[in-house]
Order: sequence, then C-alpha cells, then structure tokens
Amino acid sequence: MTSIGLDHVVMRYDGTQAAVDDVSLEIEEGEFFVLVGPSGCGKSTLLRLLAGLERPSSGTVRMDGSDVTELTPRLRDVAMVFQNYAIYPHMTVGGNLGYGLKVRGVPKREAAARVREVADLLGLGDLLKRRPTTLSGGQLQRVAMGRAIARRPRAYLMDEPLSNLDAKLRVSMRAELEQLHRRLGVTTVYVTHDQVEAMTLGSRAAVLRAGELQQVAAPQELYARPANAFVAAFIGSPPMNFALATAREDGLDLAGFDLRLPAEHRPPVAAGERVLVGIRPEELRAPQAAGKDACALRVTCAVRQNLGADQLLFFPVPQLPYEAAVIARATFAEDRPAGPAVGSGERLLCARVPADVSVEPGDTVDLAVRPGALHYFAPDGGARLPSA
Amino acid sequence: MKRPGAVPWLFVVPAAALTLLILLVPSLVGAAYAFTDWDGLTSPSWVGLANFTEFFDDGSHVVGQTLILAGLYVVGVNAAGLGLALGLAHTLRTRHVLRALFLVPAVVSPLVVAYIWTFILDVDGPLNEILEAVGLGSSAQPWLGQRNTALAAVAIVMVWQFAGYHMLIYLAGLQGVQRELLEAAEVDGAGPWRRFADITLPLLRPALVIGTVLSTISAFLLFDQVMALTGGGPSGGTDTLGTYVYEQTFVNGRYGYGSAVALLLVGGVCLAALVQMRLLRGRRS
Repeated sequence: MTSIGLDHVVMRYDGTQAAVDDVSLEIEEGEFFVLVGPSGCGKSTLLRLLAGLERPSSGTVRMDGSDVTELTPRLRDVAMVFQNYAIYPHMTVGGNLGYGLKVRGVPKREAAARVREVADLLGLGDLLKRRPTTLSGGQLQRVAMGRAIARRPRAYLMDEPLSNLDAKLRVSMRAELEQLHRRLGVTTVYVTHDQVEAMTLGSRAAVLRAGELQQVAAPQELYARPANAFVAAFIGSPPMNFALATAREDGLDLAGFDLRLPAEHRPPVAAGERVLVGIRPEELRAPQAAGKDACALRVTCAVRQNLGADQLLFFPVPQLPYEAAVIARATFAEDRPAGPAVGSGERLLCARVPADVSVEPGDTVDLAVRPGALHYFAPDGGARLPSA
Repeated sequence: MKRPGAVPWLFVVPAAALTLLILLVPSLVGAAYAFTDWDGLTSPSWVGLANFTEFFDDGSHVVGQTLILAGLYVVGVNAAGLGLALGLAHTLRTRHVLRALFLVPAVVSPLVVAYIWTFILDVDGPLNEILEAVGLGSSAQPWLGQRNTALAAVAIVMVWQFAGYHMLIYLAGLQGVQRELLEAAEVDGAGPWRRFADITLPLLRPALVIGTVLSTISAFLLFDQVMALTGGGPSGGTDTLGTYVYEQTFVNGRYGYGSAVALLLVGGVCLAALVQMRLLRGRRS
C-alpha cells in the first residue's frame, strides 16, 4: 500500500504552455483516485509523471513520503495500463503476463504460479498460450490488467483503459475494475475523460482543465458542490444548464423568469448585480415533485428526447449574445466541443423528467426548481458563490 | 463477384513476355553451356560435370573468400544500418539532415565510391598520412595491396557505401515499433538493453529478414567494387565468385566453365536467401 504525493508539479514541453501547471495532490494508501478532464487537460501527462516516463520541469513526486522525482520507472515499481493496452505482440498471453516478473528476476517457478493465479483471477486461464493477435478487445484489456496485477506493484496507473471497448463491455469492465480494486486494495490512479467513470469508480476525483487542478473531492461532492462553473458543466450528464441572472431584493430575474427565493437561498450579491446561475436538468421537475417552496417556470417544449425511464425536454430561453459569451467564458465551453452555441438569440435549456409526464414538442409545460438546487457562480471566472 | 475478364492479362502479358525473352531464355541457354567446353569461338562439345568438378578442385579459395567477404559485409552493413536507424529514429534534432547525408553514398556509383576509397587507402593516401600524423605511423600499410587487409578493406568500403540504404530499411521497420510498447516495458522494469533485445529487435524481424537477404545477395554477386578497388588482387586475394566468373569467361575465354560457376553462384544465392528467410521469419503470427 502506497501513498502518492505531488508538490507544485509543473510540466512544460520545450517552452510551450504548461501541460501540467503547479499541481499539488495527496493520494492516500489504497485509494481509487480518478484524474478527469477534457482531452488535452494534462491528465495523461500527470499519470506519466507518476510512472516516471516523464520528468517534471519543476516540483516533486513523492511515494510513501520519499522523493521519487528522479527515479526511473523500474525503481518506482508502479504498473501502468495503457489506453491501447500496449500488449507485446510477439509474446504469448502468458509471456505478456510474466514479462515484468522475468525482467525483475522473480524465480521461474514463482513467476509461473503468479501468472497462473492472475490468469485465473481474470478468466484468462485458457488463453495463456495464445498470441495477442487472436484476442478480442475485451481479452486484450484483461491481459493489460493482468500484466499490471501479476507484478504486485506499489500502485496501478491506468490511462483510459476502457476507452477502446464498446459501451456494453465498458459497463461490465467498470464493475469488474471496482471489484478488483476492493479485492486487491492497491492504490490506483485512473485517468479518464468520461465523467461517468469518474463518478462511478473513484473514491475521490481530481478535475483538471488546461493543466490546472480545478477541484479534488469525492464524486458526490463534485456533483453537489462544484468549485466552479467549469466543474459544474463537466460533471453531470446531461450537463448543467447555465443562465445569466440579475439579483433582486427577494430573489432573481432569471432569463425572464421571476424566482422568489427564501433568504438563505438568495445569491450572495447585491440587488441589481449579475450572477451566473446553474441548474441541473434533473432538478427541473414537475411542480408536484419539486416540493412546496419550489419556484415555478412555465416553458414551451422545443425538443423531446426519450431515454426510456426518463425524457429530456429542451426549451428555449431568450439570450443576448454578450450573455452567451459570458457563460461560455465562465464554463470554458470552448474546451468542450459539445458546448452551447455562442451568440444565438436563444439558448436551449434541458429538463430531465420521468417518461410518464406526457409532453409533445410545442406544448407548454410547467416546471419547478427547488431554491436549494440553484448553483451560483461569479460571471467573471466562474468561481462558486455560496448562497447568502 | 464479377469476373475480371481479359483486361488484367493485357497488363501482365507484355512484361511477362519480355522477362521470359531477355532473362529466362538466355539464362536457361547459358545454363546449358555449363555442361560444355565452349570457348566462344569453336563449337561447344559436351563434357558432362567436368566443369563442376574442376571448380570444386581449383576454385574453392574463391568460395572461401566470397563467404568471408559476405560474412563481413552482411554483419557490418546490417549492424551499421540498424545502429544509424536507432540513433536517428527519434531523438536528434538534426536527424532529417543526417538521414539524407548517410544515404548519399548509396546513390553514388559504386565505381566513383571505389575510386574515392582507392585514393584514401593508397599507400601514400590520407589514411596512412593521418595515422602517421597521430603517431601511429607503424600501423600504416598498403591496405589494398596485401592479402591480409585487402578483403576487409573491400568489406569496409561496401559497408560505408550501403549502411545508409540499410538504415532506411530499419527506419521503416522502427516505425512499426509503437512507443507505448517500449514504455510498457520500461514500466515493467526493463532497462535500455532489455527493451532493445526483448521488444525492438523481435519486432524488427521483418526488416532484419529483408536487410540480411538483400545484403547477402549483393555480397554474393559482388563484382564492380572489387574490380575497381583491387581488380581481384593482390594475386587473387580478393577474387570473389563474381570477379572469378568474369575472369574465367571473358578474360580466359572459358565460356563453358564460367557458365558452370555462374550456375553454382545462382544456386548458392537462392539457397542462402531461403535459409535466412526460414531462420529469421520464425513462427508466423
């Protein structure tokens, strides 16, 4: 069991913008820690720094309290699972599983026993003599995992290990990974761009953007109390709705909706000032499901998407171009290609309601939101503002 | 599926006919002369296997020299090519310029290369002058003029000329070795040498097959560089099968005997290439 620490780590390639910018982190013994963020945010670089495949431009990497910044991967004794599995194509499955043991001089008999044990654990027992070219994606994934496990390293580093699997296999492998971690109890650092993996797998997760740490917290905390508008927009599916609102004495003017709020849920800004408001789609509910102090919104449904148990209702709210620009800037929407269109005359917001609410496009729908479900962010920079 | 009809034949037939006419037919006719005593002037008469037995009695030193030269060349040129490729695959900033530079000798005529090196290796040439200048004058010698250095000198010149060409083969092969595999091995605990021996080298197998087969064939058929560097001398010390066939056939006018040696040479090349492919290809994956 190993704890991992990063102190003010900076990684800069040839004088370009920092891929990792002053990141400090503490990962506890036996923790399943997720690094999540959009592509290019520096999460894979951070993992390579932990593995020793890269040296930081400045800062310190620690393992169990001792400085390992200058140590080679071999001396760090961590195992890595690569996105494309990196299975040695000229070796059998057994050869792949045992390679790390052979290199590290583990006696042959013991190595064979450990390979057998890992193969049985992962259901690879019948494949030991097979060549990687004859295996399916899921099997290759298991071999990559097995190679890491057989070594019994101090920590596992996983770089988007499920991203090449189809959706169905990904769900089952996710569950298996979680079980494996519980069983082995080895410190694991897991990189993903998939916020669902971050939410389901990690005991804690760090959200990264452009090399900078945005928030480190338990998944539920990231969801319920995002540190800024970027984290709020990144965690949750479908993503949080944002609108620019004006504070009033008794509540908010939110894109034409008049929300009266109890004192404890009002935005912490003076009346007349602007505030960025975030509402999760699942918090926009049918009035009877929202509770008695909920604020009502009457909207016109523009698009309806059926998800089976739930449905997504999209409705337009009027929006000035400058408002769109403020929202895009605060949530760093330019980092995410799926971000809302900037500059259009209206913006589609989304509500997630049970499928039995009968709505068709063009219908007027009454929705409601609990005052406590409103998230407030600074319009410039997007930092979270606590309720008044 | 629609049948391709006659169109593909239109493309294949002219090339096939030309090959047959100017390569295969003369070769077969030439092969027939191997069993005669034809001197190029009088009409040939059948001598059976006499030419072959004569070669096995008198020509074995040429086979030995050819094998030594081929061994030196094949090992040298592939090691040098692989070394250059490994050095210039990723890291160096100037790698693109250097790659082009190392390839230049391969595109220069072998004769020009031979004349440059005859000058360098001459008794009064720059190599010996340099040796004298650095106080190693006692090591200065007539490199191409004595039996014990001439063969190695020829091999070195050939390696110098074609290392860049083999570098290209290995550079192409290295493209197929994913960086992630080497990183995985590094994390698994393998040092630089282990990574090379366990990962890079096995994955370069196809390139190694091509490199060794091509260099073996060109070593066996070697003619022009030897001719230009030493003319087969001193006293036949650098004679290879290629120069020997030329000498016997065109200088001594023994067309029948020359054909017999040439036939053996072709057989030897084919056999060597087959054996190498078998050895290096290993199990098909």
